[in-house]
Amino acid sequence: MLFTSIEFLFLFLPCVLAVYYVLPFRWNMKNYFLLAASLGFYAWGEPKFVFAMLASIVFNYAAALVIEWSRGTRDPTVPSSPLSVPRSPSPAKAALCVAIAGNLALIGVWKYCNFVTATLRAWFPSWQGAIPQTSFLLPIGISFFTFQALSYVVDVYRGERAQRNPLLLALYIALFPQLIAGPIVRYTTVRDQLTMRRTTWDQFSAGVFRFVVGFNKKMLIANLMAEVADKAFTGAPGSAAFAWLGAICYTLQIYFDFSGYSDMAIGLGRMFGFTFLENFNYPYISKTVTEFWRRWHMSLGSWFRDYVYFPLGGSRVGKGRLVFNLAVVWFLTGLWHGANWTFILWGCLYGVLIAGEKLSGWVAKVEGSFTLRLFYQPFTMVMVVLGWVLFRAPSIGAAGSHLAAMFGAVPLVDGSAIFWSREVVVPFVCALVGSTPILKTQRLSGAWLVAVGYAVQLALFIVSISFLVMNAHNPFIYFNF
Amino acid sequence: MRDSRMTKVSRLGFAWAFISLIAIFCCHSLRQLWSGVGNHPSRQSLKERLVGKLLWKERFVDLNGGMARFAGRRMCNSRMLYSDGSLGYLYSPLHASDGDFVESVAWLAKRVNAHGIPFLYVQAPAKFPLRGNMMPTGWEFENPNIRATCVVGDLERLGVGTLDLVGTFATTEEDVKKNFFRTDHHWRIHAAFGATKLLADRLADLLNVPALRDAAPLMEGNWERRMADDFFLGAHGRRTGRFFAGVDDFAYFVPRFDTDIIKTVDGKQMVRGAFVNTLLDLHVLSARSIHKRNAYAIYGRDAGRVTIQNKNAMTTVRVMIVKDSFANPVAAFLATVCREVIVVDPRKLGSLLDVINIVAACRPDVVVELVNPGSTRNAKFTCNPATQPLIPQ
Repeated sequence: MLFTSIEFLFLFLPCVLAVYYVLPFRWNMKNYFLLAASLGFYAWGEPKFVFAMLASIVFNYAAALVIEWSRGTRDPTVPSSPLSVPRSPSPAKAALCVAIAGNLALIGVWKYCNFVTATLRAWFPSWQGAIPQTSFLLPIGISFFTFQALSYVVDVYRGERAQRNPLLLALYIALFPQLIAGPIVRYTTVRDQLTMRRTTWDQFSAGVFRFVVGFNKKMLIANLMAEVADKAFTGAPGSAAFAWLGAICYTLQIYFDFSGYSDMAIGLGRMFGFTFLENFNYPYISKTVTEFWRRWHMSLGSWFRDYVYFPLGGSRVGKGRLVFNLAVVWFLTGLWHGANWTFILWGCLYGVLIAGEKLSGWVAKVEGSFTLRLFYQPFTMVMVVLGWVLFRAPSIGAAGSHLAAMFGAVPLVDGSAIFWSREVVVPFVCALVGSTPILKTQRLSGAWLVAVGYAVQLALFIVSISFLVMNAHNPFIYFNF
Repeated sequence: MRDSRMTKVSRLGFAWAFISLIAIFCCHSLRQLWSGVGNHPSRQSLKERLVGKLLWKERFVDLNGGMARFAGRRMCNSRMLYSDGSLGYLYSPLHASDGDFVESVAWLAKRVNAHGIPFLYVQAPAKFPLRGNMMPTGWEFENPNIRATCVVGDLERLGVGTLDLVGTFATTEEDVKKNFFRTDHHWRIHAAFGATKLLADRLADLLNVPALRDAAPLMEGNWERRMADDFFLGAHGRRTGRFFAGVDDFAYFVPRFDTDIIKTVDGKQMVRGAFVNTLLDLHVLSARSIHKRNAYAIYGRDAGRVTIQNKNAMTTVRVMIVKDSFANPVAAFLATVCREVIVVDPRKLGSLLDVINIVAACRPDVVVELVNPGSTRNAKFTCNPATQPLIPQ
């Protein structure tokens, strides 16, 4: 079920809200209902895979308890941190390794087995008889809820108290607002909220507003940019102008699609009393590639930082080791996004760029010099756009064709560039403005202007519903990660 | 900074408006689902029901089209706003061949001829100028009428009799504007009437029935023209709403002369009476919502087989028309000069073999296939002649 679907907006959400706010908080009734609703939400789209998710929850619940028992009692005065080591490491570490292996096996089989077998069969044709081509279906959101589960067991290993109530752990992992496309929520963020949250009208209203803003971003901008991007990436573009237009439209599409979804998830969470951390912070105003990844998909970036980069040593190592650490992180980041060489190459591109910035100290230089920023900021954006070409293309060959078209392998302008540039000029300009904090920094002075802002968002929401009615099918890009 | 009171009130008002909106839609959706309980309870059917019966759906369609127009868009919901302000298909190039269709028509003609019955292929035009371009700058397209002209040429080379109406009704942009609805892909009723006259003239020569040429019942003066302004939202318009390309005026013809018609649909329903009571379905004009007013169906909807008998016909000619929706008004007008018109729609039957069976059973004086260029890519109008016997069994 998608947030931008009629069955969610006009059936699921109002019914769940109504029952949720009628139920008392006593005996965790609200939580158990929310869990049931979340499982129903997932089962609507993936009736068979809900059992896989339940199995993952049970496994991680048991694993965390074993880790905590093996670890021994944690000193409550010592705050847990990514670098903390338990007093009884070996059994706990063994249990942790089993837990990590189990989670990675789940995601490895469902998400990567087809890719691995296809690659091996292509590289070693003589092995085709021995290696059957698998055809596993990808459960929606598996990357998100598996990483949440992984973060939970690692945090328990590092000193966090394991959740005793399996249903509350299930709620943390399966909570529908962030279940299928993030943000990746840390257990420590919501631990107390699971049992001690209360929602005021103000918070609820803020959640509604956030949800509506995200909904409008997805329906009014992301989907319209997708029209151009889909055309440009179907076959090789006929002109450089159309190739660039398609690439920029995809750049805007993926931002408004994913950040819109995150807004909806955060807004929905707030409607139910949960506060999730932000996932985007205007990434397209970044001055450096390093800064870009501090603003883009922040929950994923911080996850890799805390659970892969820092345990490998982080930046406090020699240059060779630093490069290795970054290579691992960015290889895995690319791989996390999808089982395709284009994603791996995309991740590696960022690995190279970020390694270069760290080794040269470029980030500090750029931030300290206006002149350098003048050149490097556009360069950063160009790299981001080229990266999205890799990300979007169905294969490396197709990406190569698109990039070649962008840099002159085809005529400069063609009919498609003329038609589509006129066709989407209004949402395109709105998207460019909306991807910067211009409107946010121009603080609306005067409460009546704020009221106008709310009225505008409500009007746009009604327009978005009209798009929803017309476009029966509008999946999220990060839906299948 | 603390929010001011008005900001809080605005935010609360916003939240209440959102809740009220989704609550209204939720109640409506639950009612729709409850009324459909027990019928096909799959997820897909639930979704279809929710979307199909959504509250204020037509208003949302109008709003969507209006916003698209406001944003300066030329494309909306897979329909294009042509340069003359009318709506049409995208006609994206498919680079596909009409060879299968040509072979199928030639095969059908041969099978009909084998029964000693003449065959005539009539090419209705598409809503696009044969010479000209109404698409926005830069849009690559495949001119359907050029394709249609090629189909006619190929059929003539195969010895099939043809009547090409493309040049008469859709040569220039002005022709298209005059002869086609703004919001629908069909030709206007007066164009269908004109096409009927041309067909009757051709049948006069083919069947050697001079009475069909310039027949009095097919003179416009013998028909009353009734008009309704801003009345019709065609098939394209129902996808884009009233505000994307406007709405159409709708004119239809009612005979001033006496008629006695018997109409049978799919061998089941039979009605007898004057033209206005049998061949004219005025109920289609009575729907309150313009979105539900399928005015083009006024001369009959698509059905597998419709038989129209004219007890007062001036000739004894019996015509079978193998058709798509373009021939609906043509069949009704032709019935005023023929003893019998048998209308067969392959899209409602199993295959072209069913058409052959009907030909064999009815033995008309002539078989006419009247289709628009869109039907040449419709599988129901093609068959594989290699697998079908040429000699009647």
